[in-house]
Amino acid sequence: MLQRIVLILIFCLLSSGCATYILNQPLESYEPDQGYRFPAIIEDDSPDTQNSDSLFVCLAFSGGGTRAAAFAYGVLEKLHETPIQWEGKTSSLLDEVDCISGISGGSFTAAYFGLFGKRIFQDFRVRFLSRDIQGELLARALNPLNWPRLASPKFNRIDLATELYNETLFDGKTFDDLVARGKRPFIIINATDLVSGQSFEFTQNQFDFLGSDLGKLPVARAVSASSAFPFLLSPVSLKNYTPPPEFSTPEDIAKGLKNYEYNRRLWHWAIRHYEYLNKSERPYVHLMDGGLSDNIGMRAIENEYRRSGGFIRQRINSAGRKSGIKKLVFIVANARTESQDKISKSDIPPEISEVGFKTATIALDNYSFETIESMRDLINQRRQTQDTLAQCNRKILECPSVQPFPQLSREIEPIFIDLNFEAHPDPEIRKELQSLPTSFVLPEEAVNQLIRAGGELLENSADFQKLRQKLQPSVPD
Amino acid sequence: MQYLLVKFREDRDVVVDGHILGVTNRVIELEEGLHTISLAEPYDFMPDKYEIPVINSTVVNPVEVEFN
Repeated sequence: MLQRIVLILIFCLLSSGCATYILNQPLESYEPDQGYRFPAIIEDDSPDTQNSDSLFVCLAFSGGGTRAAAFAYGVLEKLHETPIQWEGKTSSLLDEVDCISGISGGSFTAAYFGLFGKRIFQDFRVRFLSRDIQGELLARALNPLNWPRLASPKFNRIDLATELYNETLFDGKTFDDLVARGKRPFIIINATDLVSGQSFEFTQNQFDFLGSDLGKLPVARAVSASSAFPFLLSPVSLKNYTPPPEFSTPEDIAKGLKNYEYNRRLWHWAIRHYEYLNKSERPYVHLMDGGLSDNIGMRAIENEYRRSGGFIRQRINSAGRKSGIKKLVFIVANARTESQDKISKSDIPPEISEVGFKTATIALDNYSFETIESMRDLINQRRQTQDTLAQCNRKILECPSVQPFPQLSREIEPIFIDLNFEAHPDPEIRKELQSLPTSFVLPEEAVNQLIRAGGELLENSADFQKLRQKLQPSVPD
Repeated sequence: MQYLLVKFREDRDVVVDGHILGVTNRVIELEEGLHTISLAEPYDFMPDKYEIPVINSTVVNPVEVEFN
């Protein structure tokens, strides 16, 4: 008997020494047009003939566990049920979605749709939304067969989560599989770099700086990082390799580094990338829940809107090409909840646990609010700019000897739709939605309610109603 | 956002910080800051590039550069 126990212990020790997390792979050659990136501007010869550039739709799915995943799913379902006619083609608004940025719970829905398309409406509820993911994770952690691996410093709870998502949800798919689909939407899964505290995007543009090939990485790994909630799950670690010799810092990042005096935001974005090239100081990168740096998912989209290399900015300015944006639609599915105010009703100062919770969430909530408003301001500014130019040129027409002002590269119609529980018209349902916890298990009725809310809130949005009216297919006589 | 007008004798793609970002003789909306401005091929223009801050502009008063 003792001999058997000793043998088991030896086996455990040996197998724990072997257990290690999924390591990202080095990049063999640097090709700026290859890998998991939004494709460069091309004329309309893409195999994705259904999705135009001219109607450009980007979605942001916030964090918030299963609550956020179900809410985002409800939005996708409503877009799928919205028929449109655009440039002579009849399709659904979902067919025109070009990018989705997902955080934590929202990243599950985004990644699943990116990998499996409309199959999401057949099996995502069963495969994810209705499951007790937390319970399954706990069961794996408590399974004695996993203990030897968990004893290894290079194998942790997050690696069990990656295995679970990889086996039971994402079918072992990698980012190369997303590329192979050759279809939009482009999915941006966001995590947080524990050292810089900044957002980390699972795109090849970001991985170039790690000298790493994102294509080989399981999508489940990215989703694990995005949803690695502090304390409950451990960080996801990546190796920071020396890039291939042909790699050089992209010109927009190099220029950004010179912008300390002119645009601190641009400089900060550039330095955030550039720091990964310091291989001796940062041989490893450790990532946690994307919600720590941006719980909305809008910052990645905002960067693509602002930056000269951003795929949205390029399409806003591309004049005279077939590709280029005419209508730009942003939809934010924000599953934020408001905890009930119990503090104000008491004359006793709040307990330390309450103060701790508030300290951890207040700054994040304020930042999320500002993220949404910053994007709304950008959209309003663009609208105002176009109006100003049009008004000035109309006035100038009254003076035939005066030359009109030059036109913008392209006139676009920007639309910003912000969905959140606060806007739900029914106070009872609003209260119920607001009280749902951030967890990876919810009762079936709550999941159904969230899916319905996603659709209803989109349906009730005045901007969405206007958009739908303009895109409505014409009824034949 | 800021505004840039690149003047040239014909319509040509404008390259900002290594990316095509609009065309000549039309106003380009871009992020505030120091940028490198050039044109796409053929390289039949002078100077070969500008490095200028695009700041304090409006759509009716854009920062202007000219290639010959």
